[in-house]
Amino acid sequence: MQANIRHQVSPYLVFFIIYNSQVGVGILSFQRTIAAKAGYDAWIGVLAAGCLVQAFIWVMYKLLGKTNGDIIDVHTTIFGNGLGKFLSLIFIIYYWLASVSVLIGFIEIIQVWMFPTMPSWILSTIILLSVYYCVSGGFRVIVGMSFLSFIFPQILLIVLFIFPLKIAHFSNLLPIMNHSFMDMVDSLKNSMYTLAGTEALLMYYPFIRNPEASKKFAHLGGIFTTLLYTMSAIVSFTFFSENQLKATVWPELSLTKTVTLSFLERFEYLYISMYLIIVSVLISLFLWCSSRGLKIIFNKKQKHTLLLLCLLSVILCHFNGSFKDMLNKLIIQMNLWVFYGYIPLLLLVLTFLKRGKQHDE
Amino acid sequence: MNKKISDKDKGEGSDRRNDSNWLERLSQSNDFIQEHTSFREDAPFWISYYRTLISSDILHKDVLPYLQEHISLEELKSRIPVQEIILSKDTNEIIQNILNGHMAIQKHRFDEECLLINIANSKFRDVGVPTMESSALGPQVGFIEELDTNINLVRKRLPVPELHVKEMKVGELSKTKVAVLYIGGIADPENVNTVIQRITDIQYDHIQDSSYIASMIEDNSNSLFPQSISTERVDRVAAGLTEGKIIIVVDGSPNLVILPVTLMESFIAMEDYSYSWIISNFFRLLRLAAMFISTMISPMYVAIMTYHYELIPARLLETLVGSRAAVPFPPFLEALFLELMIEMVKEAGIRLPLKIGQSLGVVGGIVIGQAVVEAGLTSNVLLILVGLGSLASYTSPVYKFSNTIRFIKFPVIFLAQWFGLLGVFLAFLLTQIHLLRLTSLGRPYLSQYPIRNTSFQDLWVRLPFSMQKENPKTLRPQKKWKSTGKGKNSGPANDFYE
Amino acid sequence: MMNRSAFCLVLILLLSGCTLLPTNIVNEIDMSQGEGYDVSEKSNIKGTIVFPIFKKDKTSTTEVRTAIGKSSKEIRSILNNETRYPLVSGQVRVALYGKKMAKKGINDFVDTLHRDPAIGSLVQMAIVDGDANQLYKMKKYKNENVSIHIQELLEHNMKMGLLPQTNLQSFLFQYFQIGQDPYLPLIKKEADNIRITGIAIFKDDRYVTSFPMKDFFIFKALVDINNIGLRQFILANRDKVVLETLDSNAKYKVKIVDGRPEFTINLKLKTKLQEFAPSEKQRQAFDKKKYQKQVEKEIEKSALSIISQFQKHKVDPLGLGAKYKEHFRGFNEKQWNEDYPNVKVHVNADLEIVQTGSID
Repeated sequence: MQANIRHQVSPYLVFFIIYNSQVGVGILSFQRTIAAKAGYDAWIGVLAAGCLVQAFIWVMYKLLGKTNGDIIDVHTTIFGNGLGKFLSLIFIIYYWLASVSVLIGFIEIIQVWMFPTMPSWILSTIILLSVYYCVSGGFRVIVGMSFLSFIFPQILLIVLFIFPLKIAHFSNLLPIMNHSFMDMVDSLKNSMYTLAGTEALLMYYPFIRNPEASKKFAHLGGIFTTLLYTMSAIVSFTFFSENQLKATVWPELSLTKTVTLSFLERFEYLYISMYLIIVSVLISLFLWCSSRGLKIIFNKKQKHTLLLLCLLSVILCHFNGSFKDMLNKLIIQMNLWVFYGYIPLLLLVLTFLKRGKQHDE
Repeated sequence: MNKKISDKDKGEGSDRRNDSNWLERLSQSNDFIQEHTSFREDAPFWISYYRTLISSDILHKDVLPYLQEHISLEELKSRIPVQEIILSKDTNEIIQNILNGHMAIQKHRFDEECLLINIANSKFRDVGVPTMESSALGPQVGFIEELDTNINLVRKRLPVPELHVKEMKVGELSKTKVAVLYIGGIADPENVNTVIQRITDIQYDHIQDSSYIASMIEDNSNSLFPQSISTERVDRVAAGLTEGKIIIVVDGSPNLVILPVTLMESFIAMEDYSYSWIISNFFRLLRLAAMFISTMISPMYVAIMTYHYELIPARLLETLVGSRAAVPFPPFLEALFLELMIEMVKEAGIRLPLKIGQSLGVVGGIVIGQAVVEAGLTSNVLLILVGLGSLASYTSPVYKFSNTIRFIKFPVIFLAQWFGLLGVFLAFLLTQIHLLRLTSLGRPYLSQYPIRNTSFQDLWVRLPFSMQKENPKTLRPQKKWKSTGKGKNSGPANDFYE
Repeated sequence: MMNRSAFCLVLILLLSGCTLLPTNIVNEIDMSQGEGYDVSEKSNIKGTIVFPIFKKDKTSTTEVRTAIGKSSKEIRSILNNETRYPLVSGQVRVALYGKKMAKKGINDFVDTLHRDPAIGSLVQMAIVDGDANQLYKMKKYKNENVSIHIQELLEHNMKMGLLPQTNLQSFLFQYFQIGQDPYLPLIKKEADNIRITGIAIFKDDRYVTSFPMKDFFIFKALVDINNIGLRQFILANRDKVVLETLDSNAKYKVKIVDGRPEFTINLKLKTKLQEFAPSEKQRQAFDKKKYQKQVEKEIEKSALSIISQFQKHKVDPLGLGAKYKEHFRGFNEKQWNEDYPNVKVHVNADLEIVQTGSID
């Protein structure tokens, strides 16, 4: 079930959507979590997770190519209407919770770094208002914003790595592979969470103009983000000593403190403000996915489902502390089991089903 | 087109019932003249016209000498050396034409049939130098208030039969002549149809300027950004036509409307093509930077001075804080006050006659600014920044766009006051989303996206002519190539001179 | 409906706008630029905060305030009772610690610099031989910004002089690094001036020892990657050679002999001859090869002497432990701490005099 050609986007733009869906607030703090057990070998875990993401993208394309629609189509073909829609609902909730977790993460950063007294609801409201404006413009606008957020500020932020690299201690990374296999698996697991996001493809697949041609751009996008994360990890590992990193909550922001220009110091304030763009676009994408899913499942207007989700998000943002940790844990588990366990299974089932049908004919 | 004619028919039908005699209707104005050309009641002719619409020169030299003999109207039509002569019995046609500067010739006073001769006074003013979009180099021809002259100017530059002109009348009362120009075979027919459809759909009493039409057919009339370019430069219009753009000419307006456009085109001056491509790229990027400076600089000042003092380097601290030391207002009010003052000076400068306007600029800009700083009401750093910003807002070659830039900084200042730097980037985000949503004739307005290789030939940057060979793809032109040549042939290929 | 509610929201924001968030308007805060901590009686701390006062069309004056309290933030809140505007710490440039304070450990104060997101990581830190408070209060700097003066004094010496790069970030890095001890510049009030007198070496966060100016050159060559600095060598036959480093690179090699590490430091220096005065008072052409050899020996000797001094005090500012850890997977911190004083270190200097100026 392909979308109307007027709403579809060129294949090469998938690169930017994949990039956008993977980069969120995670990049500001993942260095610490992945290094918790694996120490300074953790960057290998990021690379390994990147390989898994590539495989996952391949699986998703295979799966969606079979029905030429989104995950809801896949579910209804296999399980029929009722059960299929119920299963899809889990995905929809996942997308929504993922967007909420990004939102809460960003609000926490703003409160810690910039405005300690700013109430959460104001922040979540202003972000969700711009998200609503973005999503109501349609999928093309979201893709356009992904593209623009890549050009500005992402490219600029990559250039900023020059400053910490000037005083980097590369020997910190030595000795390579000094940790046990289980520690590496732990860093892999944590990297999986930060690299998560490609699963949005399951919803926007019908909006890609020539899905077959977009494959290579999707893989390229995955490679780009993997390299981005690896680079970010390596820069922080060479900049901080290991115990220092373990004490730092947002290493990427602490890194940016070293940026000084003759007319501007303390770049992290600008950095966080610019991150508003990246974060809003990411939330837009996920809320688009979930509101569109709800629209299809319940046959409601997307406008209404989006409004509902935005309101619920504002309410959820009010809970922080333990709720945030719980939410993150839930998302990590869901991401792991649903996408890396269930989706490949689904592909197998669908392959057998199709083969069975061919035999019948 | 068909729809328009049917509309007109309806109107005429109602007219016909009420007024069968056009003379009575027209003679209610004092400048309407009806007279007889000889002393004898039955011999030559009755002539009627609006004194204010016709050229008495043509009347006396070219028409009156032929009206002495008693001949039939057909014969008269073939004798009089004026181009546009119509023989008509249709009351409405007669009224229309007289109102457009024709004279009517009748054998008897209440004859139905009359001869309409166009002796309209068409001397408006000479073709002049473009005043709003002046340039140092390049052609110095600007459009004037007359439709025919304007089309003539365009035709002179593009003497090809493919230049199509579709004329129509818009305005219930003003009956303004509107012409849509495009080059058949290049312009996308879908765009042309959309424009014509939207113009014929206009129902409004009067059209005084092309901007009326432009804003009436815009995709989103709530946007701050102009979705068409109004220009008085002939070269801009001609260049646009060859790329597949559509031009709207409105009688009585020296500004022609170009559709569809993208945001980046507001940064392109026609002068760019007169320089080396490297220099013109520098200018283009300068204008782009100027837009960012103009919209961001005072909000940034407000944000940093109100919330983020950490960002100020130690060596700037003394200058920035010292200049603000005695200012009693928060940076927000300070910036708002100064920006409004500068805008007032600008506005008054435009409204006043040229000579007073100049001296006002001096009084407003220098004297008040200096006094305000000395009185300690604003800091002189801010005065510099605001001055820089207002200077920068005028670098856009498109006047409507520079007004947009002038306005847009005010909401950003508010956001900066509420959320600091976060607010500045929130404004940036919202503007980007808005621009992405915006379309001009259904084509994306933001030229950065989707990115196409033609944007690097002549939009973002201007490559040398030998490298800009394709028409911009965003317009969906039917003709792909601008240039079919292989570029310069001079010089040995792929090697140095020996 | 949407339009109206959006309008209402905007209106609410507009009305509440000006008081939505606590502001930090630049001329309504006192920005502390320097902080200093000294010991006081009864395990209290004497904290000093330096902030500039800006006036229109006049140069700024520096205000130095002192209070006694238990923690640095307590000192701030005590001082807030006597300042015109609230004190904020986002512009802190220099943090000074009295020598006595440093001997007790400065971790408590570094923690707040590290924790507070408003404080940058390029803050300069130094140990004062004497009282930080006295240093800030010098009359001479009443009208000059004393904290910026100290910051720039340290920075230009790090960039162009013999002082190795240090700041808050480097201190934290070394402090948290396993197998390395931090070092900071040591400054002193001498007569009417502030002067850099040495480099203070820490064990964890406690000041242990310091070494004087004459060892700066070799220390900087050992810890910094690229450096510029001037050093005078008086050779055995009383020839005076003054060299300026153009480029230096120290490579640490670890070998494990009988289960114990042995270090070889290969020091590569590219230098430029700045002054040459042979003992026979008469002009002679500079013999590169001969002097290169002699200076190399001189360098090796001073490097070994400084390292043995570190070993004697059981401090490791060179990060030998960290280097050992990089090369030896079974690194054991306790074992290393025991081994360190007796560990063998060889230094191989490789000096090249690339330029001799406009004469030879």
